[in-house]
Amino acid sequence: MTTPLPGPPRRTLLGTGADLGSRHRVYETAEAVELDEASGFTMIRHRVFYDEVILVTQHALVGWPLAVALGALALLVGGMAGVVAMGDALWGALGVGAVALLLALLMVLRITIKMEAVTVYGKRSRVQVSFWLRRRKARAVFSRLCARVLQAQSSAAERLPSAPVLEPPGEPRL
Amino acid sequence: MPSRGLRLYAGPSCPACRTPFDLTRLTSGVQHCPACGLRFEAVRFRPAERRADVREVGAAGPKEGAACAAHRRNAAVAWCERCGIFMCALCRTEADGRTLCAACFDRLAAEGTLQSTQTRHRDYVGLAWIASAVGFMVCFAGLVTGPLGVYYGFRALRQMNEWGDVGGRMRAVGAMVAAVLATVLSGATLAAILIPSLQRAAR
Repeated sequence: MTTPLPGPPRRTLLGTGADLGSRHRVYETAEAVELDEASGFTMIRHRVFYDEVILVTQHALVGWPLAVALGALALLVGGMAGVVAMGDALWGALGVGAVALLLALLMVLRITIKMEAVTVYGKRSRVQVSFWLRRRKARAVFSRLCARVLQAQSSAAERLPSAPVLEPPGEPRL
Repeated sequence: MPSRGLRLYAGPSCPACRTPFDLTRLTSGVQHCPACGLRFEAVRFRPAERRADVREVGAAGPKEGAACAAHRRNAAVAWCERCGIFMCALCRTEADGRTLCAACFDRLAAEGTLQSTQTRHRDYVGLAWIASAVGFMVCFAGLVTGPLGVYYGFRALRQMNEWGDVGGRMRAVGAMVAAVLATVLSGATLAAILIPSLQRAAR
């Protein structure tokens, strides 16, 4: 009887984000939090291992980049509505104006309803994942990551050698 | 100069203003950043320092008398699964469920055989979306970039299967749908131009 080969370790997508130059996706795996940062056509992977985590934080923040982008878009579409209105196309202007109003409303919502960010600081790198309108999920992720870190560090401490540690040998004397 | 994605990391800092934290004073619970006043909840961990249980050959006892191939004074605790040399705790490297010596680890990592050492990958989801977007924006380009977008979408799904990803597949599927739409749109535009011309020529 043959035993099936073990499949790849599962990664669960925690969240995604983007800034001006790159997009990133954060995954949770059995041994680390993984950050896939894509810029151009290449993706670079960073890992913060649970047994190296120093600090996990959760805080609220305003998602300014998207709010500013929405505001700029609302101004642009509003301007277009003004131009359409000057051309005596009232219904068209009302339609375009409604879109501008919707964008402005989204901007206000983005500013008033804050994002929740969970940051995991390791010894060598850090990963941040943000959630908007999903406060409960952010809390669940924060708790789950803390539990995973605690478990990983407890088992790592148990594996530590109890025997006296000797210094590594130096260069051989000829 | 550090490359993109390898920004310098100098330890935990305020998530808003990036002022470094004094870890000796930082405790678990609700905290405030001394610089910007940001209120945040923190859980502090103290990870154990990694130590290798290095024993000298003489102190290891008669059963563990073999010496490490690289450090003659150290007792071997394992052997390399690839080349078979004896290794002490300093030389032993665990990667992808295999116990390797440093030289074999370096060689396999350079060859790309060890999956966990691969940190650069092709972003097929991004490529699929770019191909679809080009198909929508450039007239008739969808006839070429649309199928390309579908191909990249399939590659993205295969990549996700290989990595065991849970969630995030809708991005790849969405890119494939957009690529199909771009192909159809380009084809329809071409047909709308060509068919009347051909009909006129036939008359």
